[in-house]
This record gives sequence, C-alpha cells and structure tokens, in this order.
Amino acid sequence: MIRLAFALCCLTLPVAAQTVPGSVPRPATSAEADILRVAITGCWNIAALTPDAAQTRVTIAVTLDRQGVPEAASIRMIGHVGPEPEQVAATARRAILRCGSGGFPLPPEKYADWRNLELNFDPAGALIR
Amino acid sequence: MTHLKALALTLAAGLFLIPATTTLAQQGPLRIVITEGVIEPLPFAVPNFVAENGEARGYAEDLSRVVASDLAGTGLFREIPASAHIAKVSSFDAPVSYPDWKAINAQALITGAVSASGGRIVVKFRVYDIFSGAELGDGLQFAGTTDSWRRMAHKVADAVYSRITGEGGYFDSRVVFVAESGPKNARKKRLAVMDYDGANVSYLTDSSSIVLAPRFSPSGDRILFTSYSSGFPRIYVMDTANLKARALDEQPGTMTFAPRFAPDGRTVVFSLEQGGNSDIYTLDSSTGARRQLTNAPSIETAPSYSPDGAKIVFESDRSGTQQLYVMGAGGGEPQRISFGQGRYGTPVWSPRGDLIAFTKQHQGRFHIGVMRTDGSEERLLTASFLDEGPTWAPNGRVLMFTRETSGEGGQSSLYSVDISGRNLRQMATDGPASDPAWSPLLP
Repeated sequence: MIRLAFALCCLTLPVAAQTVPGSVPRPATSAEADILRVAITGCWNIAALTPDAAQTRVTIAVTLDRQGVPEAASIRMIGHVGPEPEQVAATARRAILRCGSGGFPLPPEKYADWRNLELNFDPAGALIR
Repeated sequence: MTHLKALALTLAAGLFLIPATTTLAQQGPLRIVITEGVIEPLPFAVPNFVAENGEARGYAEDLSRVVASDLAGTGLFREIPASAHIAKVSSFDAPVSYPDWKAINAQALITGAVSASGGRIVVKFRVYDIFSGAELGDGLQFAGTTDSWRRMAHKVADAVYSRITGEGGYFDSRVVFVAESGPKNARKKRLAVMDYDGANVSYLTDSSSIVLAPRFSPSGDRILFTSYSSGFPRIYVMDTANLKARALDEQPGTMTFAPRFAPDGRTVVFSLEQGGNSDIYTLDSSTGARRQLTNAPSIETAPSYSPDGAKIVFESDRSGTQQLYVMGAGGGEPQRISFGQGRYGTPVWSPRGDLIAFTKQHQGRFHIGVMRTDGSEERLLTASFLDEGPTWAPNGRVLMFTRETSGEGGQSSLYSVDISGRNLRQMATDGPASDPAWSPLLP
C-alpha cells in the first residue's frame, strides 16, 4: 500500500506553480508566466535527485533572446536553500535549455516582460523525501 | 476577498504606472515558481566506440554496450537505440552534430574510442549535453589490461553518471555474496564475489561448511564472514588477494557472528553469544583487544557503523520486540529509533550518512526500507514473502538485498532497488544467492 501510494504520488504530476510579484509589478505577464511554467515543468526531470537534493530550492536566472530561446551563457544559479544545490541546478538548466531550444511561444511585443527570468525550482514534495 | 481586492488594485496600478514603452533596463525579472517536474529516464545515446586499430575492434562495441547497460540499468537513463541515430560517429575528434541528436531527443551523448596493443587497452570518452550544445566536463581516458576491459567500461559509466547526476557512481564495484546450491533442507553455501552487474563470478570458499553474512572492509582488501566450520558460528577475516582466512576472537564457549568493519578498517564490531545472551563487542583486528559495548539480557546484534565512525546502529529486542537502536561507537545508553508496527532488523548505515536501511517484518510480509538516522521519514521500498539483508551501493543510491520465494522449492535471489523504491531488478547470478555485501568503489 505504501509503495502504491508512493507510486501514485510520483506518477501524478499536477501543475502546482505560481507567479510571484516581481520588483516591478508585471500585470501583463501572467499568461506568459503560465506558458513558461507549464513548459519548463514538463521538461524538469527530477528522477535523479537524491533525497537531500529533493529538499533543496534553487533560483536560476536566465535571459531569453527575442525568439524566446534561452541564452545558455546567461543561465546561472543566484540563490539556493538546502544541500546539494548544484544537482538541482543542473536539472533546472537542462529543463530550461531542452524546452526552450525551439523558443518558448511568447508574444514578441512583450519581450521586455519576459526577457529576464528568475525561476525558483522547488522539488520538495514532488519526489522522494 | 481582501486579497483579491489588493491584487486587483495592484494590477490596476501596474497597468497605469507602467507605460507601454518601458525600456528593457527598467524591467525587473519575471519570477516564476516551479514545484513539479517529471520523473522519466533521461534519453542518452552511446554510438559504438571507435576502434582506433585492428586489435581494438573486439573491444570497442563490447565496451560501449557495457557503458549503455550500466546507465540504463539505473532506471534513471534510457538508451536511444543505434537504429534511431541520424548522425554517425566515425572519429573521436569529429565535431558533434547537435541538431541530429536533438532531433531524436538525445539529452546526453557519449562518444568513445578504443585502442589496444600488446595486451593493453586505452579507452577515452567524451560526454555531451546536447541541449546545451556543449561538452559536459573534459574528455578522459583509462588504460589497463585487456582482461580488465569491463572495469574500464564501468569507470567510463561512473564518470558519465557522475557528470550528469552530480553524485558519485557505483558501477566499478564488486559484490560478495553467498552462493547456494542443493535442496532447501540441505543447502550448501559458499562465498562468491562478482562484479556489481553479475559478471566475473569467482568463488572464495568451498561448500564444506556453511558461511554467512560476508562484509567488505572499507578498502575492499578483506572480507569478514561467519563460518560454521568449527561446528558453531565464528567470525573470520579473509584476505581477498590470497583468499587466506583466519578466525577472529576464538574465545572458548562463545559464538560470534554478524561482523562488520568500522570505517577505520581496523576495528571489527560483532555479536558475541555467551551463556544464551548476545551482546555487541568490538575487536581490534591488529591487537586482538576486545571491548564490550552493550550489556543487556536481551539479544543485541547486527551492528553497523555510521560512515564517520561515531555511532553504531543495531537491532535489539530489549523492548519486547525487535527494534533498531543507535548508540555511540564506544557504547553507552542506546536510543531507540524505530517505532512503527512490526519488527525491524539488519540495519545498515548509508555511506552518505543520511539514511539507515533495514529489514521490516509486518503482518506476514517482509520489506526493505529506509529511514532517517533519527528514525523519521520511514519508507518501505519493497514487499514480498521474504526480503532481508540490505546492502548499500557505494554512492548510497541503490540497495541490494536477498529475496526468497515461498514453499519447499523456494529459492533465494539477489535484487536491487533504487532508494526511491523504483527500478526493482533481479541480479543475474548463476544460481540461488543470498547475503550480498557491496564493496566500495574499486581503486
């Protein structure tokens, strides 16, 4: 029963993310934030995280070009809470690059809104504890 | 409602305050929180390694197949078959065609080359992160005898695993176990050792006496085990280089069992039974000095050190049922850490120090489980008629254990499972097997 419950928890992948206020109010970007969040969630592979890493939150900064493609050199970890942040950051980096390789489908006229991203990856509760 | 109003006001204020011509420099970053991901094997490609001379042709493909098997066997990776490859790798130094590998969704690419001459073999490899469009770490090469080609493949796989996951690998390691033969009521047992994946089996003892519970030393140069060669259980230590074994702690009127090395490789902790009572002792394997750590009328056994050597976890029925306890390496009052229903035994401290694996018996079923070292966050990973005796992979990511099937024809086999509870796999052995103990990574 315990294994079944665990399997169900891990195979069910509800979208549970949210935008948080930026340093400047960003009323026009909730739809864009949803696009990014759903896309990156689908590419964030957390299978290999260790129990410790699965409790670590990392913040990744990334800049997108006008086609919505992440600039690989801009991806950097700017904050973390918990052990083994590099492991989580590596999975986050792969998720951003993989899902953004063809360009995220974002409106060009709002480029200023989505050019610079701060992505908080929080695997706690999503994987092994 | 208050929050919604506040949000509406904020949104309205934002709409009015931010002009449509806002410059990029004025914008703060868009912040997004991501709390869910997917759990799926990472797709990788390993084209057959390039044979750089004629003698290497016999090894190049086999090496790349072992690398692929190691990675896929973790359950964390999925190999993209060669039939799906668009790009072909005919030279180790040829530029990588990233679009071709992206097109088949390969997230990692491992290329390699092999040269062989005069009984020596050199293997070099590179790992590429396809979606980053860059090499992951620097290229590496290993050299050895042609007989050790599988070890070199395991070393390549360990390096790849480490670069992608950020944690150490476990492929270049061995497992000592008890090889069994004969009917269940007259089972013959002998010590055997194999590569972690079941290859290269060799036997360390004959089947003239029953042997149990082998354990590697921290450097892998010795093996502790329990033998009934004297008619009752006694612990022995074997040198893996020459297979010579000697008894430890030969005190008349006692039985010794469940030995395990301390991280210092010199101290041995074990159970000693005398007059019907079992307690835990340590023995200095160099001087023979013995020290009693517990002194209780109950059964204390299955001790295992924490990786820093400061604590020992063991099983005891002092509470009336078999439970897990932790005490200092020098003894002292133990703290009970298991409180769930059922009986707990064979605790083993993780090499990472973060978890304790154990066997649990509850309602007629056996489980392999893990818990934090304070007993919290217990998780059961397996369930069957009889699962017991977990041993940790060197990186603390995988457990191997014995599974026995029921009935008169029931047999023991070795299984492994990821600490997430996924990727349960039966290990390939020539026949029935039990009591596995993982070695450290080989030097």
